[in-house]
Amino acid sequence: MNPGYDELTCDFLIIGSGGAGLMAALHAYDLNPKLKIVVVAKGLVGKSGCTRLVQGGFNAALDPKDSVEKHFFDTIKGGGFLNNQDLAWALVSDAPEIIRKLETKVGVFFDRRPDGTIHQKAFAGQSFDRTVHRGDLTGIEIVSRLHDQLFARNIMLLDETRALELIPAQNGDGIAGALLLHQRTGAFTLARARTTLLATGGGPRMYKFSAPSIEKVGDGYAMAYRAGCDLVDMEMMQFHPTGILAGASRLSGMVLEEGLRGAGAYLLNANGERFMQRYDPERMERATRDVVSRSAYLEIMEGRGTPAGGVLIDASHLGADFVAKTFPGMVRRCAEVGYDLTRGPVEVTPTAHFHMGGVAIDDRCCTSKPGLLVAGEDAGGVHGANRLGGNGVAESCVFGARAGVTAAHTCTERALQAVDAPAVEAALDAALAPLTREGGENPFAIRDRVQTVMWEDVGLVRNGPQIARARVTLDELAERVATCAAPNERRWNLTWQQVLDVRNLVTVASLTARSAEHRTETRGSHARSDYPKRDDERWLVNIHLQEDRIFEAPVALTRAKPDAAVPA
Amino acid sequence: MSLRTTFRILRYDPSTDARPRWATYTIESKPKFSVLDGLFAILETQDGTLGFRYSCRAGMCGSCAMRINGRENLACRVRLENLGSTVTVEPLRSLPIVKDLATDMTPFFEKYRKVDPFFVGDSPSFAEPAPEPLRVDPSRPLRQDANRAIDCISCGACYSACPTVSANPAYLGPAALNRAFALAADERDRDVDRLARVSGPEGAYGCRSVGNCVSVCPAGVAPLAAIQLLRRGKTVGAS
Repeated sequence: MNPGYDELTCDFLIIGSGGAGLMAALHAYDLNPKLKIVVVAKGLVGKSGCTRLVQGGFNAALDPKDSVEKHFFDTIKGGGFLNNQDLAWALVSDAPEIIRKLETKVGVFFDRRPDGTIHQKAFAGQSFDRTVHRGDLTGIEIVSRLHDQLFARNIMLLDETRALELIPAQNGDGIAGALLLHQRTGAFTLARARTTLLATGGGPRMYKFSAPSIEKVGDGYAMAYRAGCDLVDMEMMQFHPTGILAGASRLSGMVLEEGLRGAGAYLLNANGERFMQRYDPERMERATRDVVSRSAYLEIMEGRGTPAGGVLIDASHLGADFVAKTFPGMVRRCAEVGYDLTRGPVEVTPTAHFHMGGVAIDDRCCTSKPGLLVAGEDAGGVHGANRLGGNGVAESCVFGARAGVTAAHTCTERALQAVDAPAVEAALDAALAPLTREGGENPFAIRDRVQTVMWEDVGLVRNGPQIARARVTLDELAERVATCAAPNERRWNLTWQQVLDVRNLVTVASLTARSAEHRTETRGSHARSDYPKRDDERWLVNIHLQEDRIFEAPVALTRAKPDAAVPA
Repeated sequence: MSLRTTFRILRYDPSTDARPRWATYTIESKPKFSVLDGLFAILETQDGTLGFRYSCRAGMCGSCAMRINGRENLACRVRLENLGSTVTVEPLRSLPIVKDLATDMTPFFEKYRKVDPFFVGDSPSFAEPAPEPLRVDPSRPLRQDANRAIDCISCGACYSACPTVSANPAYLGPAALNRAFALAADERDRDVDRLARVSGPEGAYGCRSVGNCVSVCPAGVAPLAAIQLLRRGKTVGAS
């Protein structure tokens, strides 16, 4: 029995309450306080998602000795020149102003130097120490304070509400809104909006070891793909080199922050060797994440890993007092699972951390679909083949703000669209089906299987036969997802939510594998053992996936070419 | 290494149950399992109807606060190996139950909202360019006090543990007052009347100095200390 839905209309529908969603809401509201803005959060607003989980910090060229040009060059060099250079330029050129806004309008506490100016610390892959931070738990402060600002404004917040599908306009003119599910009550709402922003976060949860919050499963990519959007660079999945190994706990994979390596911590194999000597003797532990993660992985594969299958990070030579004072959050996290970070090594593993790929956008966050904006990790192109530490929260805040500005300036020009009614019915039916199935599959078991397949066959180092095998398995898993069952109760049903999650997770894993199979070279985070060389002649292209098609488009080298000199 | 752990969980679905009831589950606890890992083990393999809230699983989001063996904590941060063979888990107090261990945080955030928890700078609107950040002396004692207060992750543990909250429904509670202090102590903030608005019996003077808020805080914040500083007028406006 179809329970039906109620309707909500608004000017600006924001799906996601991380840095991108909240910055979009605040900017749109302040530019036009008459707008009816709705923020939809899968968890509690302000608690869900990954901006909150940012530890290290936020890159911005604030220092007179630094420059946005240097930040830009670091970003595209780190990204293997696959970045959309207009987006990378938007990132670095807005970042300083966004830091000033967070400091002066949001009241974020950024750490200070003794002279009272904002402190900036060292991160990997950067020509200047430009990472603004609040201790070693920067994201909690940024998102908590953004959340506070919502209380000063008339913005509607929908906690524990997930978007199920983007709903096309009846006349085919783009997106008319989204079908929502309130997880507490099990009720559905059809939200119609002049403009919809997708800002839900990426898909690293498809891997056995991953960093993001549990509920973040690439919903945005899956919904966008089903709605016919163009997804780019989906093979580009970043693995962070230092995910903590905490036995069988799901804490495993949570990141120990990059500032440890920035400050001089060593990475050691089980023989006590600083193995980065073998792979990048110049930059050592401060090489970019793609290089360090792959090096750790190779050490483990060649039998020089720890019994638990990891390597070691050791900060003890920096001095126990320094480590305790500089990284209190990391010290505490380690202590909870039996490690003393101040005095000895901690077992770590490469962990899936950030999805560089995503929906193709322009520098105003517009997509190929009228009425749909995308910002944050859901968008592709900013980081190319590898993201620098400190550029993630910067992307969320910069592009969230840009999306808010775009919405404020354009959404009143677009009329509310009539919805494609069959699409709404199909979305409802798909969501409800698991509740009435009997004896179906356990969705948690399918999640485990996806994570193992992706880790083993589309992981840090891939090859053609492995990826082909994974694609077959993922196709089978997609069929099994369609047979999953959940207890027949719509209110706060975590098993049902898991069915909806794993459906999206399998979709995004399939896109990742398909794109990874297509790129027959090694670049940034995408390493192919059967094609170990970077090939600029052939592969300075982005891979696009749209409506079951795969196609390539050359990277527009509008500002810098791979052989360009580093700016002084 | 595998240990059996028995969970006693207070279960309640307000739309169908007359009153909460205890349910018992036994799991094979694996190395470094947290209470949250144990709850997932039950959900995934024994009872797909169990209700709880989660997000980050690393002590950063404050979604999984609950009462574990009679004491508020984050389920993701308590290791089963540090507990006995039986673990008793209940939802937070002083908040309505949505389902089992998941509470409705609305009353908590309504009170938080009452202290005007938002920073007010010289140029508050995002429609305007940002001014240059002020220089802030990091060694200034008030900045250090505020810097400690902002570690709150709004998990509600203190709210549940506070006897004044449970006795006086109007009392704003430790987390909201802690936030008010952080802003009142912030030399950059331009809302200078904050102190007056939280000084009544529903605010800082309602506190009975029991201190449960300090002992249960999983983020190491000391709301009682913030409340005492508010009472003594230790804020920027007063200094």
